[in-house]
Amino acid sequence: MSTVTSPEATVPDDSGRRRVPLSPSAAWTVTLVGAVLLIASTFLSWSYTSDVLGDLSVSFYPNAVQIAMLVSGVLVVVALLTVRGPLRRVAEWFDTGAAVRALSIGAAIYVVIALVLIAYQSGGLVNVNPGGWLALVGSLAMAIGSWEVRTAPEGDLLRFVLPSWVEILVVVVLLAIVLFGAAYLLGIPDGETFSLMIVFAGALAFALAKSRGFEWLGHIASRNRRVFSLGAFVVAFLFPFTQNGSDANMSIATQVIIFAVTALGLNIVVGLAGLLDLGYIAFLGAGAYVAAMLSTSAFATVGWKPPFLVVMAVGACTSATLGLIIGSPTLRVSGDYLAIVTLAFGEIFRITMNNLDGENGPNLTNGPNGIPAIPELNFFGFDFGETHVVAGIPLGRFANYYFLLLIVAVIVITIFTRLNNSRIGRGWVAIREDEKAAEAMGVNVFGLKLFAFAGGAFLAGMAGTIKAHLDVSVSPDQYVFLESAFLLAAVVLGGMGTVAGVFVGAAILKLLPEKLRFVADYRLLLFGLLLVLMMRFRPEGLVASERRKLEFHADDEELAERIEEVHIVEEQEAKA
Amino acid sequence: MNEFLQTLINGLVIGSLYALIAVGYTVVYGIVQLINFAHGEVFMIGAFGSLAVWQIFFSGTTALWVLPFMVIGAVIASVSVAVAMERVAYRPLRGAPRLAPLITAIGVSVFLQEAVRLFYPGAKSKIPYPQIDVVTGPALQVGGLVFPRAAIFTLASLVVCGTLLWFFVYRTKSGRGMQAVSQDPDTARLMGINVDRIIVIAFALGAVLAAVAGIAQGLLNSNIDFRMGFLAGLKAFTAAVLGGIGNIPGAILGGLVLGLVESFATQYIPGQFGGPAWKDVWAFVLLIVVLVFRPQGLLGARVVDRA
Amino acid sequence: MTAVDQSERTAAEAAGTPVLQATGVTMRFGGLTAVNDVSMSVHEGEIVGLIGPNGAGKTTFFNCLTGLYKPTEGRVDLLGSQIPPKPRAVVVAGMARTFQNIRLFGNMTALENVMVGRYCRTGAMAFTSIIRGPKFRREEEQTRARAQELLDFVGLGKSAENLARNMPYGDQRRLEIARALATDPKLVLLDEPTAGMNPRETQQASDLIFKIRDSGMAVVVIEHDMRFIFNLCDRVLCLVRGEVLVEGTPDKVQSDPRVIEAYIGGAEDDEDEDGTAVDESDVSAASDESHESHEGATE
Repeated sequence: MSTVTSPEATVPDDSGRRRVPLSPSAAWTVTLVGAVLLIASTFLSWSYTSDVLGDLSVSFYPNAVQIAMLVSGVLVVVALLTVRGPLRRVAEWFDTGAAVRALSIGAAIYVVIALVLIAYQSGGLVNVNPGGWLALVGSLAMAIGSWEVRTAPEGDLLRFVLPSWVEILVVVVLLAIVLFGAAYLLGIPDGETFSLMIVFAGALAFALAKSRGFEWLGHIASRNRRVFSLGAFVVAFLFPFTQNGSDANMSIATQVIIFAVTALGLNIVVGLAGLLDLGYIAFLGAGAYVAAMLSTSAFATVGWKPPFLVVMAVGACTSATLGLIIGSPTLRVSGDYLAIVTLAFGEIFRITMNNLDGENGPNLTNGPNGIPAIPELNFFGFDFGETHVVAGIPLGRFANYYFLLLIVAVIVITIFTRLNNSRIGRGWVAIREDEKAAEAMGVNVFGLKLFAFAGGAFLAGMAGTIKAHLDVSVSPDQYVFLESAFLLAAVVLGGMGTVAGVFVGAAILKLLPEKLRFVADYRLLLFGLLLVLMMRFRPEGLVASERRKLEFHADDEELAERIEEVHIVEEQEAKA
Repeated sequence: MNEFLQTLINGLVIGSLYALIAVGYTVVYGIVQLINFAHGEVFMIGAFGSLAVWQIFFSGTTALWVLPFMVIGAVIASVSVAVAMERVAYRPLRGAPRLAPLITAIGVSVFLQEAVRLFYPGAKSKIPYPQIDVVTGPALQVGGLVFPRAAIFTLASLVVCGTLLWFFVYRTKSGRGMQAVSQDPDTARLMGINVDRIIVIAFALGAVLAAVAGIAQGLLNSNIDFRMGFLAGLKAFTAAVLGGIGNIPGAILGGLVLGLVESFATQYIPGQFGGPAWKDVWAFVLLIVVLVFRPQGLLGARVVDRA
Repeated sequence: MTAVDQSERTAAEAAGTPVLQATGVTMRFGGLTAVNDVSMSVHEGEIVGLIGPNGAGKTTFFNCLTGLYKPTEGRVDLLGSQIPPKPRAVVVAGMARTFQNIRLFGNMTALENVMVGRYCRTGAMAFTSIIRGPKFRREEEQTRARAQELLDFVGLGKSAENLARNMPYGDQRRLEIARALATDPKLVLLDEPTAGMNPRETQQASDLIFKIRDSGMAVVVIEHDMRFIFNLCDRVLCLVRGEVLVEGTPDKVQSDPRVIEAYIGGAEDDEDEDGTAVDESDVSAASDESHESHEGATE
């Protein structure tokens, strides 16, 4: 139907987009049919041979790869019922149309990749069984049909408040999914299945984001902060128990945590105080070297062997002192210079550690070979190298370090959040906003910057002392600039100024290289590209605090008003 | 005395290299207040560009007339990378807070290093650089002093580039445009100067000099390596700050001074802390000292305070 | 409400020493002398106006007083003691200012902006902030309460949770004043507080400044709105080309022919008009002057 009306008479809400020639009801049906076909296909075999992607060759016995598509299909069907059907109320609040689209397109991509992998690994498309083709047809139908499935939610999610126990339940369920999902993802043996699962997880995340699910979860989280934090800690605590003694994943998990703790320290410097520190790895290294030198390793260069807590204190203080030495002269100069100076200092550290081998300097660090064979931590008789059995589940070396690091993480997180919400934190924000104005209002700009710098160094030193024992050896090559870049990337990519963001960033940066080994050679290339793309399209990071978004999108008036609105409502709720 | 002069010569040779690279940093910083972290990689790619030209067209030759072609190859490689970098990575971030372009620059730097390592045949370890008559070979002995042959190229190119640079900046329209933009881009824009184009020119200019430096490095060391941009870049930035950031003659002076400091520190500092292992440390210590005691550098900075 | 703690008055104050005594302040930028041998004294409870055409050096003079610039010559004494040319020391000693181009912390709420002003009068350090004992809680409560009090004082009590960047221009100016007051100053320097305001807002600003004075603080105001200045101030200084042209009561200054000439006939009309005629040219004048001080900032 086309009538000649003046252009301003009716304004369709999506006038700019490309269309698929289907009416909304036809689209809905096509999508539904596609989803059903996809679900059906997961019960058939997809591949003739059984060595691809786990085993895809058995009918009526869907394996993990197929279950993901089963879940996608079911979710799409449920979502379709919110567009037309008994669940229509949901679509008033959430953009379920967007969820349908995201899941459908994700499924199509998923199936295509899966079929390509089957063909590639088993020698040709002929090896793809009818089940696989059915999946392809189904998912393509879903993708095409879903393009015209549109919903227009009008409810303001800020006001969408369910009874308290329901919200807490949502939080718990969410955290449980994260726990078991993470455990599962880590356990996937081959890179191809892992990649597919990442595609699936990505489609889920995208669906959640576009349908405003994350927004809603964000509101729930801020209304139930304590439950959320406690729950997150419980989840983290329970993780080793899901591994059933397997060390492989625990090793990765421990690496992730120590990386995250270090990055959190950097987050104070970069995220809170706004200082560009490119040499942070040196502070980590200083702590590690102190621990190594004071350890009972055969190669240790210092005769004093104090108990570990003392070592930790010495390491942390050494790093903090270095931070003071470097910070005092350079924090007065502009931010750009600080970046280069800290970079230079990182290099000085590495070269010095390399050179103090007796020839070019006193033998403090054993030169390029470093100090290997650092023994396990032994804390009040608890040997970290031994396997202990708790509730029937063996907890090995990595699990022991994991728990220690978890405690350290809690401490660092507490320090971070408490400093953030204090007079000092306000001072830091003021410095970030307008340094000269802050100074003119009496804020001790230099003092706060120095405190952030040396304080961050202190935390890094502390983490470093543990790292030395975890890694069993220290050497100058471990503390190169690239590591500083990775730490910075974790902070920046994850989301500056937030705790969750840093953990997300750390998880991504440590986890993906481990699991995606088949692109190992291209790892750094992709890393560089990732940095460029992130800064271009989402400079505030993945899990950014709202205010931080404002700092990067300074001209976004709508965002500013929305944030104000959210803030006012939260304040009112806090007082209630 | 001989030792002193020898140290002096060595210092000037390495200093000219730093000077050539430093100009690129200083020019870009002066105009857009961006530390182009990836400029070291521009230098590295220039070297690889010249190598590629030699490998493709002149493999096996050592004749001197090949050198200009290598220069052209280097320049093309460097300038394309620099201009692309500006266009794709930096321009969209013009108004963003300082951290964003810095991270981007780091990303570009890592990307370029890896790209060369992965896609240039043989680049996974050091690649031998061709020998060219006159500018490589046994060192020249003049009156008891040793002149590495590559020094001929390096010092000559510094003089030539410096002169051409001077002409460009002070005698051409684009050059004056660059001066205008580095002082006040808004007014420059109001005067009809195409600020975007000037910025591209600034990047290209730095790239040309870095390309020449890349060839010099190759001739000097007889090999090039995908990692060579990192340290050279860091030191060149030190040189730029030393001379006064934004100040082109300052960058050249800073480079030479830095080279001399490295050379003399290595030669004359007694005991265990002298010697080549600590060479780089002295350069960085100098950077910190300059920033503490004279942040505007030797010849004074030429940057508008945007705060 | 008194914004100044009475018990902090020094003996010098009681003896009649001026709150502010600037003597022979000169500021040279290379070859340009922006401020030349300017002396000014401000006594307790005074409102002093600082007027002058564009480029006269008024904001530069403020910058010299508050330590943003280090004066080439001269000294500045606050309550009888010389203050070092450092912005923070100046604030701690008791002199606060607002800026010509509003410099609020845009992404913070109004309340938080004012709370930042309390920084130099509070002392919670890192350890206290992390441990969060009763001392910390008490200080945070006090800071919040005081900030709210100040917002109420300037009439922004309801806007506490609004982001500074979202607030209307007039409110932003008042917020800047509240933030300055949070530092418990004895002397407040206001740089063009009514720029861009309509007559009603200007009147409110005037009332607010009287209120500030009545709370025990002295005020120095830079302004171009002549009617505003002459109704408000006890004394007026006129600065032309960096030098004091004339100083005295508003009547004396506004009828001085040299002042009228300095404004090239503009001031003559201001007695009867709203002052809006002067405002238009002065909007460009304000931007010129900010350019002048901005240039100076590069040194």
